[in-house]
Amino acid sequence: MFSEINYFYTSLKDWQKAMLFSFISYSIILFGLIVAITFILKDFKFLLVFGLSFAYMGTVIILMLISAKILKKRLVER
Amino acid sequence: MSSTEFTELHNMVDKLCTIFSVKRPQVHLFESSVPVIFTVGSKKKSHIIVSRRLLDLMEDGELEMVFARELARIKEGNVTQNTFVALVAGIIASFSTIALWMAMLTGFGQEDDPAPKFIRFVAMGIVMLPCSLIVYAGASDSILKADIGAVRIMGNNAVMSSALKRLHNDILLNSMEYFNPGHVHLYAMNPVKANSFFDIHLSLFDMKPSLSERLISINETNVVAGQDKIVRNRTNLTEV
Repeated sequence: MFSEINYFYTSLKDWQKAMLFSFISYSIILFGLIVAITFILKDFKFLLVFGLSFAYMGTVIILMLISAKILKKRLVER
Repeated sequence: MSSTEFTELHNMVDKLCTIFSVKRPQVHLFESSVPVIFTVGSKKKSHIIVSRRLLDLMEDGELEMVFARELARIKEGNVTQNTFVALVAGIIASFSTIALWMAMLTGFGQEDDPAPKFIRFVAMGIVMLPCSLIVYAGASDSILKADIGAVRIMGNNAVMSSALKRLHNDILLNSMEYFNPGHVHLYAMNPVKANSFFDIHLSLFDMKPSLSERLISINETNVVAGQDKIVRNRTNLTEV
């Protein structure tokens, strides 16, 4: 399992690794939003969180795919 | 930069301005161990900013060529656009540095401790992607044009190639300074590089063309035979 993860990680180019960690960073924002909403409402509303996660992650993934296309053209790949 | 301290450099810039038919830019010097040169400004007034290391590193002809390259950029007329993009992208990119300082000032540790580094890493993950897109979308793609423009007018591909190789090698071997990646499109040679895992997001700014592509384009540029000699006579350079 770990060797496969390692193989996947080492096969990525530097900019792809950067995008992977960017994705994780954006996910941390979503986690913060969910925690904040849950604290404010003093209740975990599954539908609200699901809807927010779906909309947020959908937007992030689409924007990252567009970015990947642009970056692939413009970057020196290492 | 005072006129008395760098008379020869000012003379060289004056003569290059005559050759390139551009308004004389103001030249500024800053202390840095990385050889960088870039141009900012507006249509009315341009400023060439050069590091001390570049002046120490370059030989006469090479120094003349990197200044010629900046004047070629001014002549192209994209300085205002590039400066504005650098301002916007630079402000966005600096949020990661702000996050680092906020982490340090709120007791997460010192600059080299893991916690502030991790917070900066997360902040970089958020800001570097939009920042790189702003640079790629907004900045004029004028690296090759400036190289070729300078070579055509100065008439010496070999010196330009040698200058770029020298800049590239010095940055590769010695550069440990952090440069704001939002300014990457301004430099003659990109000084932004990922020195550690925590800098991996800087690889989003490793923009084309690569050095080899630039050298190929420079070598393929036709120059008028004997033009180099004419330019050298006109500039009559002395050592800085």
